[in-house]
Amino acid sequence: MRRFIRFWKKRNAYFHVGFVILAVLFLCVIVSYFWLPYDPTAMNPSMTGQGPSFSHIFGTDEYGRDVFSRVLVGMQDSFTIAFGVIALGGLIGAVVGSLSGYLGGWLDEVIMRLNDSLISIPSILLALVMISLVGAGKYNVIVALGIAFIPSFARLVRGEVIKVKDAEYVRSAKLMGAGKLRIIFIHIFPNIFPTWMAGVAVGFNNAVLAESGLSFLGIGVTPPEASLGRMLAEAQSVMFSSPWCVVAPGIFLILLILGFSFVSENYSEKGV
Amino acid sequence: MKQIARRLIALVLTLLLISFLIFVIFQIIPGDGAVSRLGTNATPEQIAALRKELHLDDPFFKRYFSWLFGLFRGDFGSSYKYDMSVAELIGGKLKVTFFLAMESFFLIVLISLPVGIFLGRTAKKPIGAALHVTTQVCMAVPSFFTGILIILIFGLGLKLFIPYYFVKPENSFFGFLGCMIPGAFAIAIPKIAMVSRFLRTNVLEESRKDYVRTAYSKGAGEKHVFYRHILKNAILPVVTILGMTIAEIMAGSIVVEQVFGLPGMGQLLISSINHRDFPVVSVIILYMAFVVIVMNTIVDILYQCIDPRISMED
Amino acid sequence: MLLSVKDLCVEFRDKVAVDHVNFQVDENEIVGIIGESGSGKSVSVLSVMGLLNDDAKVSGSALFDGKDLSELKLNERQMYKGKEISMVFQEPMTSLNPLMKIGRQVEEVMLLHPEAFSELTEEQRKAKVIETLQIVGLDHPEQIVSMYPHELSGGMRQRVMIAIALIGQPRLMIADEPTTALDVVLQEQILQLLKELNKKLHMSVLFISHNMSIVRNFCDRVYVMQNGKIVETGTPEQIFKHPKEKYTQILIASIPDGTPREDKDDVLDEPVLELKDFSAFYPKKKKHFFEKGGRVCIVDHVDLTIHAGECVGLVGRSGCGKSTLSKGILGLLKDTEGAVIHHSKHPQMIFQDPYSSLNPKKKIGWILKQPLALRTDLTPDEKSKIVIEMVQKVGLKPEVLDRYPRELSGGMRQRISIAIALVQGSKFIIADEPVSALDVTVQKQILELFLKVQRETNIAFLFISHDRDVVKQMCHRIVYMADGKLSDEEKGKEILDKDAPVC
Repeated sequence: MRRFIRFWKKRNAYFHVGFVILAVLFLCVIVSYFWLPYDPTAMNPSMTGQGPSFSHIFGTDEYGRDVFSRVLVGMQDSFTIAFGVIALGGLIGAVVGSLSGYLGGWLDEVIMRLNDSLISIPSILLALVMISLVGAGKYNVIVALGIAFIPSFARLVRGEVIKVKDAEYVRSAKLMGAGKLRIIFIHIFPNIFPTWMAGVAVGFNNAVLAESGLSFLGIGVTPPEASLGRMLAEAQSVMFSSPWCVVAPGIFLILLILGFSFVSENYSEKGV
Repeated sequence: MKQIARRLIALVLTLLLISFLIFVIFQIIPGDGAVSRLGTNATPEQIAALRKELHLDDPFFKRYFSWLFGLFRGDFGSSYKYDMSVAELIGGKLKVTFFLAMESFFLIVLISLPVGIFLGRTAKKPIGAALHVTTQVCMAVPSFFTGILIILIFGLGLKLFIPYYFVKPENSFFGFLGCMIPGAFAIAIPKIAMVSRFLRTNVLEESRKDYVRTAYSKGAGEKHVFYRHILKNAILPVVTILGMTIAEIMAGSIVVEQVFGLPGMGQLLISSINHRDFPVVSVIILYMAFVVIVMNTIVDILYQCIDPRISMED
Repeated sequence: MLLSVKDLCVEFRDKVAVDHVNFQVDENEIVGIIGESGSGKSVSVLSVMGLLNDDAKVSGSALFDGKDLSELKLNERQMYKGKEISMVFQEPMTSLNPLMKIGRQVEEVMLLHPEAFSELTEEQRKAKVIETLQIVGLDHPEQIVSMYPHELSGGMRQRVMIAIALIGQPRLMIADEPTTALDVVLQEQILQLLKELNKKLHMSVLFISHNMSIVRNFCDRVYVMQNGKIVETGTPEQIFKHPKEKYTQILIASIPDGTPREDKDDVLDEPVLELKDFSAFYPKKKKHFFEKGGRVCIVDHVDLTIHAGECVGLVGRSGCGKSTLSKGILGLLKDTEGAVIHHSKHPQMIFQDPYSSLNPKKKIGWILKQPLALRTDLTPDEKSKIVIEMVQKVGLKPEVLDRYPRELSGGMRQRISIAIALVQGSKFIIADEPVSALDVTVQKQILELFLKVQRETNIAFLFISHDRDVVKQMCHRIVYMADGKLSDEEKGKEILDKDAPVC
């Protein structure tokens, strides 16, 4: 607890706001796994297109489903996909980047050529390419976006490794006889960790954005899964008659992205 | 000059690499093109005949190079879904996406520079801080949601434009440009926020540098120091960031075309992906990657021409 | 009296940086302020120039030619800056605007002071810029005006800075460590230039430095500062020969006096390192994509033997290949020729910058245990015991083991670097400018520690430095390096000698 307080005090106001937003949303998601106000898939013909009220705080959609319950379930997907994407892209990117940066030589040359080509293609486009091969669906989206995110993480980590690898403490570690992998992962990586974490925070932000974009286009998650982006796409046809169907998932989506971007702001303000 | 030559060689290599990757991904991995076109009910003889016609039995590299040279001659292959050549299918849609992207790029350049300068000048005042948070919110809104909000507020509420109204460029070029402006804004807003924040950070960073202190020691006032010394140094790196937004504008246009019902390449791409129409998908992706990479190279070369530190060195 | 500062106080948040300071500069006088880092010397003069940030609270008065600068309005004060009082800064590499041509940067002073220069036409201004660049000793000023800062060397940039400070014909020039970032030869040239300008143009100079010997030879009067206060003042003669205050005495006693080291009995006749015909190369930058990479020779056929217990000094100008040679000896280079024979295990290196030589994310205890981490013949308790013993040997308390590098001062970090070598049981250490980043008093303590460690353990040192006095005091033998070659004693002295002609 004391460590958390110290950690908290060292961060700026942006981080605090972002952290609170994320904590509340995350709590909602956890609760939603055990309890929901209504069954998110239960249609109710007598309750179609109702505006917000006490019983349905975000109203109902054109099939009479409770929008709030659907938003909660949608957030489950958005959260899990973002975590999966970062776990895949962030970790593989870190390993590729640090090996390429530290070892240098032709390996670095090849990896970076490939990386540069891939990075110039927007990650959503890369993901589109992969999804067009393997088809839509939650897990395919995770894999597609995860792979699409590798180049940017690799570049970030590689740059940092190159900055640190000629530091004098690394040289003296070499003189002590430490091996390459030991130097990369024990001596260098702890120094890169804050930058990598900043990258992860930005990555979450981008992953949620990209996933919502894909799902909005109808090539992300597939029914019965319902991420926030997919809900928005479905609600677009009724946005004139029941705008709350658009606004509710939209606001939660923005809050989710904003939470991550505020948390990452802490790092960029410090110039990490 | 050598720098530029080196960039151009790298450009060609990157384009070749990407075309190769796309060829492998769309021509080789999906399996037998003949089967997918004729369906699973086709007889082996029919398939074999079509394979021959499509040169699917040729060796790998021969297929790659004939595909590549086809692209140079304007032969983009033909669609599986429609009985049309890809070139015909893409034809008019190219214009929509191109001008949509151009419009949003101009909006970004025109708006983000003054906003960024203002943010940098007012960084320590409440108004600057408030605007800074606003830009962060703008960045967090996905462009398709911005699009929906624009339709709801400016289209439906304020009646400033008619939602889903599209003018063909043949009918009226300016009408065509005008009807895409709301979409261009939907793409541009998050990027405007991003670029102006970047400029703000640069301004703050540059104002801490030693040469600024030198300028003050000459007896310069705050305004003189800002406009004559800090600004040029702060804007220069923005050129690179602007180059990077081109990729994101491309990505944004795919989504925003759906929201505003604009008949561009984005719409075609999505429907082709849904129909697994690989020749169309591969050409559109290749085209988009091509635009992004070429534009980035142009920006890079431009940067080298502006910054005396680079252009002089080699 | 030209400048008279009275009761100057500067506070940052709750920290007092300058505490009731009084000093003055007379017409035509060169006044020095010396002090160690954090003594408040730079802050004092920056506040006189009005260059401190908004978060600094300043009180007191600064009378310039009878007018109190602190009471002037912002725009009135700007009339003084650059015109009446000008300033030269420490870091020539970053003090010029990278995107503005040199000529413009010098000319700007005249454009900013129309009250003095409005009658000059554009041609006359340009001519004056060229003339001023000539005065500060830059060749081909016609070409230099259209160059950018990155095309000039550090010494040239500092001359440009002086030209900027000079062109307004100020009555007082403040020079804040103007030579610290330059190598010895350049240092001397810049000082000579300042002295000439003082004589010729009747311009007073307020000179800030941490380097005692420079101040001694250069200034007419000296102030000594410590912890934001002025401790003592007098002529260099008084201060350096008969210091009154205790702090000044310590400061003066810490200056390396350059008495040669004489205890040669400790040197044993067994070599720890032999270099035979050793050369090192860096890859040449490729001019175009398909060119085959050539290589540049940085260290050129070097022969050197170092014996156990010996301290060999290596001296040379910046860029002569000293650092490359040391990397080559330690096997950190890829492209080398000739033989490096180590007769001992685990050579270690002590670096110039104590801030980057320890891993910032690890505790001192962890760092010190690293050399033992791979050894299986020791129990963890034995390892801890060795580490504690060595920490005490370098004069630190075992509590530091639980700290992070950022919590230690520069001197303490250099002690830790020595401890690392001791833990490892090194018999040969390369020390690359190990004290040049430290304050004089700390410098003295660290040099004493080097000597103590060497006597006790018979470690051999290759001691790299550009400070002649330090090297003489520390080393049994000095080798000189120029253009990648080791040169003999005589020629080497010439390279370093202060009276030598300008290169």
